[in-house]
Amino acid sequence: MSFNLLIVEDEPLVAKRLSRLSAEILDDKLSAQHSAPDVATARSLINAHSIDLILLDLNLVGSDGFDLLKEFTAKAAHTIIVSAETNRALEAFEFGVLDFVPKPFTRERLAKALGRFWKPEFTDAPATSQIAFEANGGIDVVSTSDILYFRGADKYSEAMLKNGSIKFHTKSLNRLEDILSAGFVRSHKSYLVQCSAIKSLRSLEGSRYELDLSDGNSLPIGRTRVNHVRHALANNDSACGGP
Amino acid sequence: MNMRLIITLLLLIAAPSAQAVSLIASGNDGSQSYAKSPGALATDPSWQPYSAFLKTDEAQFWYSLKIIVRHDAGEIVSNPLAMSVRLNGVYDFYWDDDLIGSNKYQGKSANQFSRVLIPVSGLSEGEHQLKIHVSALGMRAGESSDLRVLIAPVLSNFLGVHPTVVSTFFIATAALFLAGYLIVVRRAGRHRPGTTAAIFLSITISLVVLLEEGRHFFAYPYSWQPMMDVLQPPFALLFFALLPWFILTRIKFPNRLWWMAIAPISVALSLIEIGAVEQHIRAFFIVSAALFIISLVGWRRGNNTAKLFAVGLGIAFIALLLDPVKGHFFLIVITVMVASDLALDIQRQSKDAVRLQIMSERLRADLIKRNVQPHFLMNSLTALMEWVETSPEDAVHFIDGLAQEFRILADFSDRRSVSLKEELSLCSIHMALMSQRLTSNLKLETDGIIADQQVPPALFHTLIENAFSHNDYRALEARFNLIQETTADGILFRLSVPVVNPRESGQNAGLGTRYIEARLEEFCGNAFRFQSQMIGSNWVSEITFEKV
Repeated sequence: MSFNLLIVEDEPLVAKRLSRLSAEILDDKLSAQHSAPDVATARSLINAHSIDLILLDLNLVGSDGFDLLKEFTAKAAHTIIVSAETNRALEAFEFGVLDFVPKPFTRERLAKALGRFWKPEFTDAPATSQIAFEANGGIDVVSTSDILYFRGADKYSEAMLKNGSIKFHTKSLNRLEDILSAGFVRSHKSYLVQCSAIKSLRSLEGSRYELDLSDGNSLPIGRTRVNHVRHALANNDSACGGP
Repeated sequence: MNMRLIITLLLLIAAPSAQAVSLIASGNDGSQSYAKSPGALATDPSWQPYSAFLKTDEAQFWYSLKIIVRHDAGEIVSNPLAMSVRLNGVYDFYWDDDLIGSNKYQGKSANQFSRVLIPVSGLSEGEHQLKIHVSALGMRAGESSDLRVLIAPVLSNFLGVHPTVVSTFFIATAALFLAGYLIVVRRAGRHRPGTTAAIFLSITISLVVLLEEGRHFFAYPYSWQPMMDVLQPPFALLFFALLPWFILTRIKFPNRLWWMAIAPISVALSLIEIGAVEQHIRAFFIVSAALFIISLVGWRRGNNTAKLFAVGLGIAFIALLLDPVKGHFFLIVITVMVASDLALDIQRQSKDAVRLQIMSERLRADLIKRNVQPHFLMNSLTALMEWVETSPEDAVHFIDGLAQEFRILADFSDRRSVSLKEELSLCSIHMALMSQRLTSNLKLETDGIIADQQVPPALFHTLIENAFSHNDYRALEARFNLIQETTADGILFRLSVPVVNPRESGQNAGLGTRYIEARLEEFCGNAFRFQSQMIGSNWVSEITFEKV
């Protein structure tokens, strides 16, 4: 699987290093690589190309790191932060970034971060606790604890919130599963459910299963995922998408 | 000594005591001298002066008085009787032929004012004889001995001195102490507005009082008295000029020179005959009333110093009404008021100094922190990693520059000022590093620079760092420009940097600006101006060290 990479970095030498090392590490997996020295250029590149992964510097000249974090994690692409501000790592992980690479970085460290695109590992990373949604030209940030479940909709997703509202997210369900592996369980190819929102697992006629949710609704469980869901519910916090 | 204690002390001294005896003066044998009639003793216990005009400067006189002591029924005499003596000469007092008092001065001088006590043992009922032997020592022929003897209240025998002496001592000492302290304060570089006026005002108060009342303290040749009498008016006038000047300066009253008309008007009004009030007391009244009104205006405008003066002058005004010792209490209040105001101001200044010290430590920490500022350091190290792997010569060159910058910043961190030459060296090194990192060609040009000029450390370095934070200088050839000018206001520095793709956060915001302002305050107090604005395509920062 090849993909498009976007490097958002205003330091020429750092951008050059990211570009060179990424090309070496990804080799033929990399179908295209783009570089943006500022947010405006990054936005236009994201709109023009199907970007899969963004390497983002949080300290772009004139930009607020928190705003950058919200804006770019709301995109369809996965985000890896490459920054000198290691004190923002926790905040970054809470917004669901794949990894946080502190500057200066070695080839090995960057390779490890890029590898998470294919195999997310969250053995030591804080769980995602907030999800940013693009909405009306701005960004809405929602706590993951306020979300009942995500429903897959083509390349995108819809989040069903406990208050009954629905929010649209540009990330696919698979990418959301990558960053929401703690606290959520993939019960169906089209559903990613908050563990704490599940009241019970109910078997129906014809070897079908459903999840009864705390809001009174029910969601189907994929046949191949029943054991995974049972295991997750039995172990709740740790197994429900946990490590 | 607090005010309550001072007031209590003065009241105790001034309080009339019960008279254990009645004195009746019955005669003397000195030519042209006479005693007061006994009938007026109850309302005015003084005798009229004994006047003896000297025929030669070796003259000696004997006065002899017959005194009848009468006790009230059942009265037990427990206090000696005090007599206040004024004399231009040397005296011996004998009570029933026993020596009871002498000013004991030999040579050419003597105390003009002193006191003699008639012991309790000598105050038995009946007739007694008081003899006074006067040697007109130091006087010239034709002058008067001017002997005056008054019954003095027993309770006024405070440490054996007259109340006037106590208040004189207090005012003179307090005012001189204040002046001395303020001189030390001024020499220590903690000069406050009005300090100089307060020094001269304090010295003037002490001199006015000492010239008027110093004869109670010191023995000096009689020939000095005319000179001291001549010196009194100029110092009194100085007082009437300095007090308004001090108060107007302290409350920062506008048009001070115009308001100084208070001084001559006060003195002029005091010369007009109104009732029996002494001229200098009337002048005190007028000047303190005028300054009281000015202080009230300042107080109304929210000036705390004016509030203190309004209260102080109000008390001084009341003191004039109540003062038993001719304006001494007024001068005490004025002295205390001046001292209190400056003490409070110095206290505020001390707090400011502590705050500045804390600020200085914080600035030092900021400068050290800048050495390891993550954005600069980590991006530089990342760039270095890239050069090490792709262009080792560039890496070596960059490391050398980085080391120089860190070395200078480490040196600057312990200093409150550096020479402009050192500052510009730091700026140039930083610009060279950034040029290499941003693949640009950026230079700092200077004009009119005085290399020895002292400036706060990392002042322009911070402005240049700000420029890099807020502009996009990648792959660019640009010139920064620093000009030094001497203007009528002081020394002006103008740093002009090109604006390239400016950021929304603005050029004049953030930590850098606060660091500069704090450094400037530490360096020259409030005597600086710092402003930045867009001029053409450049962002221009102007820093002025104002003339003090």
